[in-house]
Amino acid sequence: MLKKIPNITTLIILFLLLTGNLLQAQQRFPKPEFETGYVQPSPTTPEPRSIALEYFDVFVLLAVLSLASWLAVRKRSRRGLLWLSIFSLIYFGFYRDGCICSIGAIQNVALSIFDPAYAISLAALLFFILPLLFALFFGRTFCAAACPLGAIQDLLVINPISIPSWIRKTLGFIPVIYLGLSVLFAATGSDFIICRYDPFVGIFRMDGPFLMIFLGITFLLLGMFFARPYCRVFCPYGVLLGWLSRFSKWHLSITPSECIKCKLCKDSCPFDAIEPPVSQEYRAPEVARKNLKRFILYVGLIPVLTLLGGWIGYKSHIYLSRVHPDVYLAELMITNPELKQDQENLDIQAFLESGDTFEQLVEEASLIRNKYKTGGWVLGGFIGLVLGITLMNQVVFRRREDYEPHKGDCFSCGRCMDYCPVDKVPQRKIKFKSYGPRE
Amino acid sequence: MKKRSLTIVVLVILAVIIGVILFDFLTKRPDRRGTNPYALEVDQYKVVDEALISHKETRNFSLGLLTASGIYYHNDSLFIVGESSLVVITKDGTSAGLFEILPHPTSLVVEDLYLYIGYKNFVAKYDHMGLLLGRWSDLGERAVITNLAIKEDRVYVADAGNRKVVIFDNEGVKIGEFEGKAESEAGHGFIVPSANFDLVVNSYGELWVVNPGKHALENYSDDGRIRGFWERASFEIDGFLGCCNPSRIAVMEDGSFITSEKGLVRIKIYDQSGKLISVVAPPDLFKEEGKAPDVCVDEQGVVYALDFDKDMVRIFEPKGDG
Repeated sequence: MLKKIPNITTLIILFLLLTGNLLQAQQRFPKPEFETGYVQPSPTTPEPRSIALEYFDVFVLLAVLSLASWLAVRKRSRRGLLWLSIFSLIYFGFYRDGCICSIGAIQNVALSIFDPAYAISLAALLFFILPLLFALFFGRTFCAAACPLGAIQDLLVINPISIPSWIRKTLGFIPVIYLGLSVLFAATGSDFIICRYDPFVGIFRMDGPFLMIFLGITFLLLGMFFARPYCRVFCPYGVLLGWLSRFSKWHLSITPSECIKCKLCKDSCPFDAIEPPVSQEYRAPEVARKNLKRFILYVGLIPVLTLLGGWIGYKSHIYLSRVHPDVYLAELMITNPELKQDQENLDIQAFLESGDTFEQLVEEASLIRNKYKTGGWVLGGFIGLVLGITLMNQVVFRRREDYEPHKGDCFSCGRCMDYCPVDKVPQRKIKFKSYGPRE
Repeated sequence: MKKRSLTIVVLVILAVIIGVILFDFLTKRPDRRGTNPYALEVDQYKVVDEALISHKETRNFSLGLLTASGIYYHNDSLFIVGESSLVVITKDGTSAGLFEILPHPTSLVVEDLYLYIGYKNFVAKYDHMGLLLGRWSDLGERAVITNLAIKEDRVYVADAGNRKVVIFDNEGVKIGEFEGKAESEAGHGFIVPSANFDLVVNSYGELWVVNPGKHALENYSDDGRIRGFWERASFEIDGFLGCCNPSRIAVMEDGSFITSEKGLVRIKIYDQSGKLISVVAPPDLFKEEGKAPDVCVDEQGVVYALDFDKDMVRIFEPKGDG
């Protein structure tokens, strides 16, 4: 072990020397002189970072994910996860200005798949893949301690209320739609809506448009009573993490040994992510038969909903394609040719200055719209498919004897472990009393 | 607050958030956007103190069919190249010669016996009767020759495409090149964002090269060592602004520089140390967002500006005491 220390020290020194040199590298162009009253626009993305430091970010992410998984699954330490999430908030949030981010990386990946001219950086790809891999094995430990967006909300959970299940499930469908739309818009090169409407990046950068700051503050205030609202109602990456987490073999467990069904864990979870034991009545033959009929009906509905969704998506392709600036601009210039003279219209003037012809713009817009025809089918079909599977899951009851975290919804924050009295105090000291519903 | 009420509040806030996002998404479109809050307003810098203006435009003459690309003053004559022509004009505007040359010249330099005309990636040598004496070696596909300068038997070629100065002897043999790089901060290397890269040799034989990205004039030895420089980056009249200024320069007998800028077009005079002496032509004499006029100057300090936007030669004479 001692022999390894010089090697590690050497590596650290080498890294610092390498990154130090890169940090001293000059910009290609010196910054223009803007000291005479010109107001510089706020940057929408942070300054480019050297490759070595990008890989350092990946290394930090990997370390945080590993530590978070260990803390959640083996160490069972809520306090450790909390401190780790604070570190991530400071590092990935305030220090790295919320960029690079696994949530936004969805768009980079989508664009790189569908646009051969776009090359995704390895760091962005790893930021997308690593949390998913960890979710597949250990649950959503990324949400627990690595995501700065989750961390900032988690710290402000004050008096969470429990929302009725049907409302939660309905709201839980929004991230699916958001995911589908963000992939479609990114794949067609139209927009990066996840970044555009990232509510916390303005807070991380202490700067941003009014809307961004407004959304950030609103989410934080809302999060005092409805824990992690962005994660539960908007986060598109959470959809992917949730799906993979369902298959996780080493997911966090509430109790280290036998559950005593004290219900403390359920009351402690601000996210309504703990499922109670399945009662005997669901196993009764008549209920099972009824559920089987519904199950068959819902399974039959899946292809219908998929096709119907695809058809609706296809029919919406003209409307959806207008998100792409070229399509919108082409339509605008066809319907309002007089706008070409409008010097105040920045987009039209920028196009006219670009040297491209109007015919080129229209041709480009047609190509994009064709992409939306296919994209509309896929988006609609995807939403229909998820809707069908969600319906089907309503009648699938798995055998559950104890209180267990819902692997898809659980953020692995560890509150339930903290509250679980098993193996913490002698059994005889536990008073079994009923806890009122959470306000 | 009751749980039910809180739930309703939560749902209402969520609905507001979704509504705000949708509203923003649907309204931030090209025909619904507000004015650009970051527009670069340069109007205030177009106004120049009258006391600073040392010259006045006394004459100008159109070049007719010729789309000119370069002007040079030598021995009481103006040499202008453009399209596939070389035009020689006396100072009073009388034509003294018209010669056919290789097409698409970009620049020229003239000495007593020969003319050297720059093209995109090569230099051609002519005599004063317009006879082609030689076409020098090609500087490569990336080359964009923007200007030439001459000192005794050496011709300096500004290659904006490769961001370097190439030195030939007067027979076209390449004898050196440099990129303006040095260990010190001063020798950053030429930053040439566009095809605006000029150089001159003054009456003391010093080679001065514009580093347009740095808004600097740099003095080099023939082996590429930087010997001195000055830079002025500013919106104000005493500096240069934009990506690539000064775009064109000329040099007076006393070593002062005539500078010509694009964008906010203006022609000014600086001393050798970079101190603004006067303004030859303020921006309001030129097209808005125009090209930088090519400039040259005679022994009396008369500045000849080839205005590419108006396609004419404009003559600015010193105002004098009166």
